[in-house]
Amino acid sequence: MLEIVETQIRELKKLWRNKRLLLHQALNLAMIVFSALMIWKGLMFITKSESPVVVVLSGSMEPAFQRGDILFLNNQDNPIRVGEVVVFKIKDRDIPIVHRVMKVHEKADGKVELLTKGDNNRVDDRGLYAPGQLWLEREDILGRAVGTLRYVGMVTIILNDYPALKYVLVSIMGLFVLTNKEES
Amino acid sequence: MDYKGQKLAELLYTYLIVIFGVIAWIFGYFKQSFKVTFQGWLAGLIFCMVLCVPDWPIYNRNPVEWLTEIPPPKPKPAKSTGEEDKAVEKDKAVEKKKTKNRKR
Amino acid sequence: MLLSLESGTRSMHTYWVRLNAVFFYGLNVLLGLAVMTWLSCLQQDLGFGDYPQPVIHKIKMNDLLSLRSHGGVDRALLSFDLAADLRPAFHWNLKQLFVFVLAEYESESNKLNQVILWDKIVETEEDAQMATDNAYIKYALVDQGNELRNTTVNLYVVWDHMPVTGRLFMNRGKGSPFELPPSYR
Repeated sequence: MLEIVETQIRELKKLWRNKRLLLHQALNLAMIVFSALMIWKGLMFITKSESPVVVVLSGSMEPAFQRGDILFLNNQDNPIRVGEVVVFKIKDRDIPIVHRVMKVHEKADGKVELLTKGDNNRVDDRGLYAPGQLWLEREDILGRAVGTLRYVGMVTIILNDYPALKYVLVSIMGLFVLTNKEES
Repeated sequence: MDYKGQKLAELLYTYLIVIFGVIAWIFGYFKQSFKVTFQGWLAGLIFCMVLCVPDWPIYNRNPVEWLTEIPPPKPKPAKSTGEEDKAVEKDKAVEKKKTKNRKR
Repeated sequence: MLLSLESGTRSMHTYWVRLNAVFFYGLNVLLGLAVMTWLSCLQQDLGFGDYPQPVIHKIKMNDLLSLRSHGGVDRALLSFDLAADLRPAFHWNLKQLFVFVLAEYESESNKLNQVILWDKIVETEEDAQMATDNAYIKYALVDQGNELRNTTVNLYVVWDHMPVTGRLFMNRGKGSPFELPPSYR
């Protein structure tokens, strides 16, 4: 382990001396970051959703969705109907919630009011909403779940449970990308 | 891990994970349970991690041959022995082999 | 494709890089297996060929227990009959069916009202055959205002497919209408 660290430090020092290589590796890193960002933004554009892919973090929808399941969201304009699983965000709260729509009341002008509930919860979500809020509106909905993928999100759960690990992992990865030598 | 070892490890995990996965999938299909498939895949993944991540001796059977140190040029003697020439030629051959290895 | 945080090089010079390569390659294989599973069930989901389809034998309002006003909001309590065979919807890519009884009606202020009255999570094929008479609703039929009297309500059985991998989709049976009385009782 110590040996690996020493190698990395040596590589970094070498890199610092060779500015051209440093620039090349920095561009390399930037390309990875930006292509990931581009895919994400592209998905956001297609699905019109703020976060097109989410990982389920709580067990309130078990057994339909377990912690670690990946959900694909769509937020296009067609109306929300009862029974659909939606992801919504309450004002002034950070974490979006994945729950099922229990009630829909739609006015003639298209204005819709919704009530949600977790399949595994005993009561509806009014207690989770902002104080005094009785209904969700269309703007609160980040998207409806259109597809799901089990198991693949495990990594995210591990990273979420041990946040320190996230920073360690990201910095290690960044270091490796920077000091990676091209073989051609 | 030498170059050939790297290639071997890469080949091993590429095929093994797929083979494990496909067998697990067939089992899952007949048992009608995706959990079976997942467990089979997980077993394959762990097996491959044990097999391909540590630097086992099997990956070091073709160590890279480095150039022997070239002696500083001496004032040329009037008569050279044939043996020295041969040694230089051998060094050249090794160098060629090395560049070939690098060009993967 | 899942991206591994590895640059374009094919070098495998340390444990970390190898671990990363094996793990992300493995995840991609898992993704492939999941997609294969989804494909293997697609025909059944879409109802092509001679796969049997889920049937709703009966959904009917049985008895109206009460229709009252609670602080200006109308609330009806009722019981219903249900008989359905949803076994054909099951296959190995299905985690569960979310089955619910839905009341749908139009009122003066709302073009569409949808309220879930009863629900059930069906995880096994054996439980997917159901027959209950005079079952009491789990959630009251509550209106947003006081417009439940003299309203025609349609009852539906809806089942939501929750797959291991793939698309979430709902199916519903034929509606069964009933009339709410013109006065509170």
